[in-house]
Amino acid sequence: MLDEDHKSLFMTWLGEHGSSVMKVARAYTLTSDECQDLAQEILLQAWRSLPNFEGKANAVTWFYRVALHTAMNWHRKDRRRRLRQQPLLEVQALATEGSNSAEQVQHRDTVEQLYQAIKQLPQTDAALVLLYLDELSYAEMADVLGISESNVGVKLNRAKKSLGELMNGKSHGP
Amino acid sequence: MDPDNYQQAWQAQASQTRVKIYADLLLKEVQSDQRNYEAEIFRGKCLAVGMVLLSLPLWLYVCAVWYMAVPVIVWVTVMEIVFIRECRNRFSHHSQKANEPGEPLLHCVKESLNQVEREIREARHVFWWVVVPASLSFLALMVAFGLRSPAGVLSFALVDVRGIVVDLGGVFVVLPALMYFINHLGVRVRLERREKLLTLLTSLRDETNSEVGRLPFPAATGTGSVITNPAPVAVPRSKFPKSQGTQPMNKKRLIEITLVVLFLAANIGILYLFRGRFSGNLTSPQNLTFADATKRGLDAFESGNFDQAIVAWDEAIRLDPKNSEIHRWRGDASLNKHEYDKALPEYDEAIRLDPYNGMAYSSRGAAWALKGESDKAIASFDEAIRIDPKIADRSFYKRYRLVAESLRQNPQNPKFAAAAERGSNAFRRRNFDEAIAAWDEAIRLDPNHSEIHRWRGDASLNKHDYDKALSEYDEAIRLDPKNGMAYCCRGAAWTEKGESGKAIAAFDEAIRIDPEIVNQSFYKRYRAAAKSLPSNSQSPKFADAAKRGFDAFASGNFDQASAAWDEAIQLDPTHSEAHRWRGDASLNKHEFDKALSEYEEAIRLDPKNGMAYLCRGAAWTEKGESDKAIDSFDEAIRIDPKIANMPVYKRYRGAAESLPAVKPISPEK
Repeated sequence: MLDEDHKSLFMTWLGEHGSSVMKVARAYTLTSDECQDLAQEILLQAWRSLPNFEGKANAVTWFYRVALHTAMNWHRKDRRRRLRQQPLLEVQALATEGSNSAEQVQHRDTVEQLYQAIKQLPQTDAALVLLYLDELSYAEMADVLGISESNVGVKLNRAKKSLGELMNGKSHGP
Repeated sequence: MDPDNYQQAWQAQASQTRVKIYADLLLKEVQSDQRNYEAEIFRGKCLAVGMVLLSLPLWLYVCAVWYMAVPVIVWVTVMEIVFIRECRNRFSHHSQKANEPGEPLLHCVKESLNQVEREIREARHVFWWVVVPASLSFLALMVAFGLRSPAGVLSFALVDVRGIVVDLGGVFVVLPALMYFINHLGVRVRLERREKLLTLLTSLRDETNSEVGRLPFPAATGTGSVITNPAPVAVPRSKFPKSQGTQPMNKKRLIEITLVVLFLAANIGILYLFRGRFSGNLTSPQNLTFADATKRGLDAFESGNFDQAIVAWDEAIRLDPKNSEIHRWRGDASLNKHEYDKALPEYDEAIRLDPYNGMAYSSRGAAWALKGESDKAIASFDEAIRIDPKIADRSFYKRYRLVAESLRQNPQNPKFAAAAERGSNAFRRRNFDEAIAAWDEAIRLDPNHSEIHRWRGDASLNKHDYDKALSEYDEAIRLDPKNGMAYCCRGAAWTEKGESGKAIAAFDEAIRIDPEIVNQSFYKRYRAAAKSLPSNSQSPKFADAAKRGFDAFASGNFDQASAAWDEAIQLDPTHSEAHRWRGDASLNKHEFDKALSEYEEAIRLDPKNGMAYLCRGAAWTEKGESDKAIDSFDEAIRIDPKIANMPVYKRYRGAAESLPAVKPISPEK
């Protein structure tokens, strides 16, 4: 694959799935600094893994595979590098009409709670929940994780149940 | 809230935000990351190769024999391999082959797990790869040190760095242990990672049918993400490593620790065995070996082994070629070997290195004097005392200055000197007959030369012709009553004849004339031999004379007893008791003054002779000197408290205190 092709393909994918990088990073880290680190690491890994993508999987599953794998193996070992590096990505809030409506505020709160809950889930369950929230099909989830669809069903049900318990526990809390 | 509502909220929120990615920065970052990685690998390789290149000459230098460096080279090479592998493992996230993030998660987890397991296996092997070879190579090195003779041919570069090796000793005890424990730390980190991966793998386990066999690792029951326990700490976490590795590992670890301890103990033991070689100032290995060589030389010189002394000092001069004194000493060793032509350049060198070395001038004077060059000798002596006037008090200086001056007054016949030299050479070759013939000629040319007579006596002594030797020494002493060495040699001849009393008397006279003789190994050896000789009091003649004395004494014939003991004392003049007996005879003959002098002699010969004090007290009592008597008695019982119980003591002590005349005592206790 030529370098230019490589780059343009990567940029296209980033445009489509870049947000999932941030979601995964946020789900698997505790602070925003760590989140940035992990997101950047995921991007670097994705770039490096690009030559191995031979159209075997679709772009979404491939991207998630890279992101989840990196997140699960990630531990902060390279503080030095992060300090001298400019942020490679940033999250921007889109100013849409009625962006401060009650509904949107509630959504924001819910998403906050969801992240908190996901962070408490075991790694595999967290991954499943993330994929579910991003509306991936069972087949795609199975592809990402490398397990059977029926297994995805069983695990996802259990993950959803524990997510629900965590969310309810939270909402009933003080 | 229904999970579907979460989905809605999630999507709604996602549509509100946009992630902006700076692609150019990312690209740059990727490139610099790649560069960093390559640079790091390169640095690692440079370090490893540099270590080898730096350590090889050092080891070859330290190891003395090239093949001793082989285990070290092997070890360093292995270290290098391990190091490079470690570098690769450290940067394994760059290796696309090891981890392929593009693969499904389960596949990746299995791959990672396999890799971690492999790393753990390899890390454990480091003990056999690094710790054991390191210990073996160091052991070999230490054994090489042990086998190496101090002045051996293999010593070409070793002595200088022996101290460094001692410093390394500390390192080589600590180093393998340190590596071992660092290694174990690495294993522990990997074990933790392995544990995590196992948890992950378990949570990805197929739950639709419980086909455990599909997993490469036995899954414990009740694993997976436990709903009732939302915390990410999963139950199987603690179970896997325990059931898998800890038990057999403990056994292995025990063996490893035992081996490490054994190696360390062996190393320390070898160090301990050869600690003598490493004694002294460790911080300055140069001084250590120099001092060592110097001392060995002095010891050899003291014991009269001049060749060995020269060898030792050769080494000392090699270590410190600018040391003036060592050159002088080596010269002195040559002088003692009568190799004056070798001694002279040494003194010249010593003077060149230190023009204020007065002793070197003095020794050079002696060498010239012995060569018969009186003018040069006297000039050198003058220079010596000009530099250090104290040298004038030294007997060495005095003796040879005298020789030089008498030479100047009576210039020697060159024929005489040649004959004397020929004799000396023959003597050194232990060809004593030839030496005697040469000296006969020298004596014919100069019959009044005391030393030649002594030398001829020495040759006879070496031929075990003691009587002839004794007559030569007597002649030497007659010609020069101040010839201390002639007395000393006479002592040696008497020693050879088994006459310890006469020998010791001769030795005493020798050191009275020339106290320096005390330091001569010849004197020391013979004096010790004379002392260890069975004294004449044990010879049958002495016993016979003593017994005749006692018999005569018992029958009241004190003159006869005295005569018999005269004979005994002649056989052994140093016999303290014989003098006391003779004193007792005089006492009984009422010759108190004579008795007193005998007792004094007995006490002089043996200040611990309590009976002599007792008898002296009796003599003083007889003379009516009660104070002196009581002092003498006090001394007697101070030396030997048992004397206080003797009837003789009680009788005389009582008499001294009241002073009436008492019956004389018997010489026997």
